[in-house]
Amino acid sequence: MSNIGKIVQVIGPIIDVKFHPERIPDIRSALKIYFKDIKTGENKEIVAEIAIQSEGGIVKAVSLQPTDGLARGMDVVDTGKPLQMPVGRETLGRMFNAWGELIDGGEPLQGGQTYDVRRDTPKFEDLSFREEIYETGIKAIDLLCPYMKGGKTGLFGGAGVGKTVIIMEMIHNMAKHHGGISVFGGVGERTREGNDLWLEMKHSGVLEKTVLVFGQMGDLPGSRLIVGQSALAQAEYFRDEANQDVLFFIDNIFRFVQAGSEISTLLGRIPSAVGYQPTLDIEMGRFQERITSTKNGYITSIQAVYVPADDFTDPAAAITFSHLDSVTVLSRKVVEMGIYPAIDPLSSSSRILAPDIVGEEHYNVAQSVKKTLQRYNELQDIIAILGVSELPEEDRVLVNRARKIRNFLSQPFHVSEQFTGLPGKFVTMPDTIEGFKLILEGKYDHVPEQNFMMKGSIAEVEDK
Amino acid sequence: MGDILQLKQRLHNIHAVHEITDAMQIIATIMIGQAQRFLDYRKKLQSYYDRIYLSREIERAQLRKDTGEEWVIVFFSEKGFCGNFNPQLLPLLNQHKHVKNIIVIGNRGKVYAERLGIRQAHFFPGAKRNPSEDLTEAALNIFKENGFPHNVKVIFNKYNNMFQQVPRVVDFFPKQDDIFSGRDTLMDIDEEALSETILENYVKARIFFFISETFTGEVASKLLMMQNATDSAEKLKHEISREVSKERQSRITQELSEVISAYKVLQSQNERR
Repeated sequence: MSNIGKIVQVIGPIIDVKFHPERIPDIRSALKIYFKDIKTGENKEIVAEIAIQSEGGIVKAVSLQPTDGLARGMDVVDTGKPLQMPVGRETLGRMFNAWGELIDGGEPLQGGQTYDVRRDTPKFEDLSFREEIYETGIKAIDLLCPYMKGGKTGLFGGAGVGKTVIIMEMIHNMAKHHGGISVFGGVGERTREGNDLWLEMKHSGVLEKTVLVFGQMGDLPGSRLIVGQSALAQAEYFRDEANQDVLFFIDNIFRFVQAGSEISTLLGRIPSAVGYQPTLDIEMGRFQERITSTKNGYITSIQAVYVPADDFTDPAAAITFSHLDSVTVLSRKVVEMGIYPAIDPLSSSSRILAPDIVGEEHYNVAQSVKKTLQRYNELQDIIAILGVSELPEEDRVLVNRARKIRNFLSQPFHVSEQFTGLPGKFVTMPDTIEGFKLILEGKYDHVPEQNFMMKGSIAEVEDK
Repeated sequence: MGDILQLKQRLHNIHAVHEITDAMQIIATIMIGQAQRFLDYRKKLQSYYDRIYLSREIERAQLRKDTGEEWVIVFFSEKGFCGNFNPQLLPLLNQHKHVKNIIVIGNRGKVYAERLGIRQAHFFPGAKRNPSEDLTEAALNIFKENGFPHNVKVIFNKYNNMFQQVPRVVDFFPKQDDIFSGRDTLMDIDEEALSETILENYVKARIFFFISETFTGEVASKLLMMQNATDSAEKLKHEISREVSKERQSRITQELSEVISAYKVLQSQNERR
């Protein structure tokens, strides 16, 4: 016999439901409301998730869909289990919403296997670590903040600095150079971008090996809060049951925090620093701890992190930092110089940029590049006041090389060919290291710095 | 808070540079008047030297110019911080870098000559604090040792006024037409009467004239450079001060809004009870 409750209050996406005091559903149980819209006459179904249990058999549930048309006294069905996400090989090439419904207009799924959206983190003894570079083909990333296979990477940046473009380029490169399964979680970003991504994947032939899960900007906070975990459940299936390595993309993890903050406010919790939810740490921690590699397989995750007002001390950005192996910071100052990808070479870092993992040569070149750019940065004020010509000879040479390095960190992308008019370039790791090494050694001191802009390998600089 | 501390540190550094450029600007302002007066005096004197030299030396000089080995004298500034004063000479020097004998006068010239790969140059210090005729002795000795070469070009910045110094290449020994044009002068050419004293003194005077002109140009360039640097430092200070204030204000606003919102939540909870 199903457990039925009654709606007693609806405030925005928060629905208060009264159940029999002896049959109160668990926290995180999924509820379903079936009703007929009085305006359109359509039969509708709303999914909600219980967030709080109150006195008198009342539970507060967070709706994942708009609550328009609901009325007090309507029946609410307790499904008796948490939210479910369809998993399995048949999900490949398909697109879902946060609560597991297909949104690509295709045929319904045949298999019936599902996973709980909210799952426990793997046991400590099942975890596995390897320290191997994941080659992205993007020079600035591969040299200065190399990504780790089975590691977690964050792409930090304010609005419009190119986080999504880098993710799309990596998906493109992955298709051509890596293969394997990937899962994309679109969290609270523009629907147009999701559409572009779907078309790009279809065009490049990777869609058949990809699962897409979207809860975009226009969706309710409940949907945006859960969508990352829904996508993660898909990735976990391929890791745990199919024993496969998975690439897991999230765009944008900040929207997950933002959705949590909205819900926290709606539920009347006291806000914490900068108005975020007091449970920010635990929410992020639970989510990030699930993105891990086990003995069965690896999840390599790449997460875009929006930085509000370009303030990296914002709690949402700061809390995400602590979970990552590699950090790629995108900077507005670099965008203003017209350098794409707008990676800030001094703020970006990686745990695996160590001589015993990446090799002596890579480590030394990366450190020299950082040192050169750091010194150039220190000289910026003096240059602004007195000009480059007044610097000592040694510093002048360094400034010239630093400017060439800065320009050589730019690269044409495949996904932005239509905007730049330049063919995209995938640069291998040895080519990347060799290029920067030659610039540092002064082999290209005679070449004007403009020649280094938007180039792939160093050989192209010579060609011009 | 880290950002504010960093910005304040930058502000402090810029302030220190600003004080230096300000002081250098004051010194250059004092020196420029003195240098201009001195140059005017040397210009008047130089025209007399030119006439004396040409009245005695004209035919021999012309012969030596046509047949002699090529020489170049370049006048750079003695010190730095004078903007484009030295770099603007480089294209001209680059055109003459094949010349076997190059004399570089002025400390800053040494660096530039090395950068252009000029190895056979003779280096001499320039004007120090004030141009002194003693400096011409070393260059004169080179002239003497090489039998007074006459095919000599000079690369220098011609001082037009305080705001304009133009890079030029001129003959060290002037042409007859340049000096006597428009004048009805009787030429007294007497090769036997040629006195080495006249030639020596002329060379010294000519070198000293170029040193004086270079020194005046250097001071004027330094003055302009320091004016610009002081302006840039002030602008930068203003920008960073604004950033500091903005950051500070945003933190205050943030803290106030956090306190107020927490108070509102607690108040509404109390009301519900």
